[in-house]
Amino acid sequence: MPREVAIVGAGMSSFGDLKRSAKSLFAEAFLEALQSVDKGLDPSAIQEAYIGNMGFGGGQIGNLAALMTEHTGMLHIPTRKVENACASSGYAFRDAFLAVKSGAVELALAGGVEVMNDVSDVRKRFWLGVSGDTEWERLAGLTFPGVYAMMAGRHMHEFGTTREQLAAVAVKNHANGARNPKAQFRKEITMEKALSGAMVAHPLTLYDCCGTTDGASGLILASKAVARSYTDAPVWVLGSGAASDHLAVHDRESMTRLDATAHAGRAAMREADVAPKDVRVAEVHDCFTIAEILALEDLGFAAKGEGGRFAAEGITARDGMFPVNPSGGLKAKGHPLGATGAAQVCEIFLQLRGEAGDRQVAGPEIGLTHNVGGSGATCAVHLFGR
Amino acid sequence: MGSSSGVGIAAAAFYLPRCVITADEYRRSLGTFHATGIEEKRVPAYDEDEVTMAVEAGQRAIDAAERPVAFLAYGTSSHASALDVLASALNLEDADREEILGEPDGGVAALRLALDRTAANGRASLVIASDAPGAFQGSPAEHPLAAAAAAFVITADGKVPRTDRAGIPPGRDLVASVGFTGAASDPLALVDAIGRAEPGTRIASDPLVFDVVDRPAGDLDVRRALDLRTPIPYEQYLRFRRYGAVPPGTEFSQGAYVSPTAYLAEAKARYRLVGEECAKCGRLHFPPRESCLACGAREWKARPLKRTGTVYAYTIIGKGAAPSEFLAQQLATGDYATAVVELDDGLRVTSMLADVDPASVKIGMRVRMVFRRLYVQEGVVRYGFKFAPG
Repeated sequence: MPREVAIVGAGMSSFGDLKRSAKSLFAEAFLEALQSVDKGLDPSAIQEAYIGNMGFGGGQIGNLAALMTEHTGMLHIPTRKVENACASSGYAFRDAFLAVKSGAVELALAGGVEVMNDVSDVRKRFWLGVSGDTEWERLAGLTFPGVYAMMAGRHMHEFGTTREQLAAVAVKNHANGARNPKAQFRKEITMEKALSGAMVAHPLTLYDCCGTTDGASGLILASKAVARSYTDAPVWVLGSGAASDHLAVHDRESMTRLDATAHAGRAAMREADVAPKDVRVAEVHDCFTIAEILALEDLGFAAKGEGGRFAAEGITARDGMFPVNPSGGLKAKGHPLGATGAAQVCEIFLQLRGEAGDRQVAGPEIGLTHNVGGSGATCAVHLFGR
Repeated sequence: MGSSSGVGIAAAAFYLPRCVITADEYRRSLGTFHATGIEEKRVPAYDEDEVTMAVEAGQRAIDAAERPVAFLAYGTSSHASALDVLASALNLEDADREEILGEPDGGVAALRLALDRTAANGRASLVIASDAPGAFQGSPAEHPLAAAAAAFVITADGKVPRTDRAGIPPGRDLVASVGFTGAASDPLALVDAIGRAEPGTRIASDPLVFDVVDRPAGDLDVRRALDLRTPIPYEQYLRFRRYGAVPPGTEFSQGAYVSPTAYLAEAKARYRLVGEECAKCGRLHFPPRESCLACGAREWKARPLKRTGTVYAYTIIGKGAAPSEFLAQQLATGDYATAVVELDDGLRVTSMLADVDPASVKIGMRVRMVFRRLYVQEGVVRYGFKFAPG
């Protein structure tokens, strides 16, 4: 297992319907990341920055990264926005990892920010569903709930997955979110409630879907050479994998798997020399309940068609054999598109360091993050160890 | 028989929208109905208009005639030009074309244009008369107004040639169950009359007269089509006719945007499901792409795809899940179904479903392509394919 790049600091803003500016959210996340560096770190020491953002609603579409970094004390450095839809900061993290691993820089920032709730409902619906195949899926009347709903319908058709199994993912992730002070939805829900939500896109109801979220996240990556000068408890990046796929689900061979996930997962595990059974905690991209089920299967944690059992049988509960989304996941913690991937890494950083408070899972050695763009056109998977 | 074929109708077709509103429904809702003699009328669904009906009728006539068409004549009382859409949707980009807009007699006038053209050059012509006239909501003048389309292929050797002799006009009884369909009224009555005429009959469609020497090609059975009907309430009719307000903020894009130029760059695919076949390995692709997924080659043959298939996956879009482009539709028609359809060629395509109760959709359901309105943005109607049961 290579231990060449470490995370020495991690932070995220509160997630929710906050209607705050991107600058203030990003500053909150970055400040927390700085404060989490045990031996202290000056922002001016950061040499390179990668900021995930989709540009939801319009706003600062151009030069967003420079605005975020100059606003938080990093001037005259190479900085850029990274955009791969909901996987933007998963990719920002990968790019920062590669920059440090290459030896080009010793310290890099990877983060993300998205403000989704400061626009009208009509404008919001113009910006939802812009990351599938805009011309050939959206214009057939779909945003992402509809695309994932069709995947869920196919999964139910092919494997007998049930509405209750989908709902069990929501119940579990809400239970976790209730313990996360930064989560958007901090209350538990019952199975009855999860099943009785308003239909959004058949067979998905309100509780199968993540919300729209304002939030930001930030991570400080350091080379092996300098990591110990910032902390005695670095979290090492063991492997990074990323892959793409057709945007439109009708162009894919199967609608019940995300090949981008499978390819990215295998690449990350190969680099880390880790097998699925070695992973003890995971933050996976559960923008919809079906997405968590697909992720478990596509990453090799569950056999094909068996993913529905995992939440329903408690396997992926916080105190289960294999805790998944202890943060509450996108479902309950929230999904500020461009901030999500780095926020997942924040959670694994806390879990591996034993700093996750009420939602701490039992002593994990190896953790995984899985960040999907759109309905699977892009995916980034990372593995971490102490 | 002394009669023979000549410049005239070789094939005929029609299109009736499936939605009907009855006189009784008007009376229930308004307390009155100012269209004596009309018992019910055909009205367009939310995603239909005179252009979509013209495409459907025109395609049926072309399919029946099995002749290359060199000229397209289109007549309607609508003022909206439709020749580019019709030519693209009907694979008539190379045909000459003329339209007669804004004329209550535009259908018959188009028929006359086509007869003259074919008489002059001997080549086949397609005539489409399509109309969905409207008037102010609730005004008495609105009550009889209905929608339909009729189409004819004119050839130099038509089975129903034009004649200079006198003929008998069709009865008006069809209006009782179809309503007044504007520029399509007389052409639709002509299709019906030819379909029911004994050989040797002469039928007048003022100022034209036709000699029914033999049956033309095509389905001319308007009466049987009257059995395919979906009665709708008056309130729904008003929503379908777009008397309701468009949701504020949806007139123009505020985010995702496909420009009319980009949209029409793929018109053949959007309007008539033309895909590509790799010239090297034969793999089919839809929509068109730049290099073959199987072998990487970049040489293509255009390939019209099968217009039938099965529902491979589907969803029903409820409140909150519709893109803003479709908010107006959702307000008018409620939840709608969208599916990934597996075409009979094996390719998959994502499509909204039409003419279907979303709750009745099932994986494996047989569907066929229809030509419909998708959405309106910047005042431009975006037409394209949908799939309907059947």
